[in-house]
Amino acid sequence: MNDSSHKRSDSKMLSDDQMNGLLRDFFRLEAPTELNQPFSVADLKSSRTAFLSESQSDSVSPLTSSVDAQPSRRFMVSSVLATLAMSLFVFLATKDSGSTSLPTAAITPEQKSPENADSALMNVSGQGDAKGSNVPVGNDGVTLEETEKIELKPRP
Amino acid sequence: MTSPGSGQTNDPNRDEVIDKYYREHARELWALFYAMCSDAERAYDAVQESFLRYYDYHGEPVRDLRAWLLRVGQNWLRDVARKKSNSCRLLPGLDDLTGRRDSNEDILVMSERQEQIRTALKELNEDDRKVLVMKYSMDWSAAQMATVMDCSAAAIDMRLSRARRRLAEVLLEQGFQNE
Repeated sequence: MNDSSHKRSDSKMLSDDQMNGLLRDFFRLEAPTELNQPFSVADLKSSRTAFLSESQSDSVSPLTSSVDAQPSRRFMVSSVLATLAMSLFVFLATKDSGSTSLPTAAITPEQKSPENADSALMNVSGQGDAKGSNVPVGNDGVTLEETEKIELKPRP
Repeated sequence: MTSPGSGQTNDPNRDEVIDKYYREHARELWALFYAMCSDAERAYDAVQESFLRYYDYHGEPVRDLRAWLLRVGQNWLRDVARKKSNSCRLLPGLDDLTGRRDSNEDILVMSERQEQIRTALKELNEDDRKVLVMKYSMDWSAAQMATVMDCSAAAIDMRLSRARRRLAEVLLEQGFQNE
């Protein structure tokens, strides 16, 4: 059974002569006709130039250029905004520091010392130093020593 | 084997030398590239690409231009195979047949037969395909093939016979009918 089918397939199989003819015809048609034409470097250059121009035009497609342009435009706008914001901040900071620094600059070192500060606060009498307990405070002539003896009681 | 030598473009005779080398070896290069990819157009593109690269080459002098071109074309074929750019492929053989007086039916039968053999060739290993291409495309002798394949002429004859038989088997499996 197997032998007979094998023989049948062998009979169907192409002989060496048939394969020779088949392969010669096949490769005669398969080989590009350009191979038989004379080749010149001028053709080579022109084909290379055409190929390069095609590839360049392909690479710079409208979609690609618009996509590339967007980041640069965004970058410009954002940098301008950042510059304006920085300028505004510097201006405001300079203005604020000017208003607060002026009084600080007006206080002299003498005024900053604790003794001078005390004397300025205790100068409650128009007649002189109020540190003394016998000096009357106010128009009714009450002294500080007398005011210390006054007992304050809540009203019933 | 003659070689244009260095890649200096200042040499005024270089263009002529490259032209001459192309006329002498383009078909052989095509056949070897065809054995690698089983695609006539792609093999031709590989020939063009390898010569283009050599034309733009400005490096060290090339000692063996044939080997250099083969290497470049082989690498290019690998790159193309990796990208798998099989789109927009013309129906094989139709361009060559447009000027013939055969009927449309004959043209279709012929192109179908070409495609069947092409498919069958892809089933063979590269060395078997290479001997068939060198034999039937280049009409090389066993001795010439032995030099390229780095083996004896007797081994080439044996390989050729085996490759032919294997191809016939594949064609039979495909239901190929020779008319």
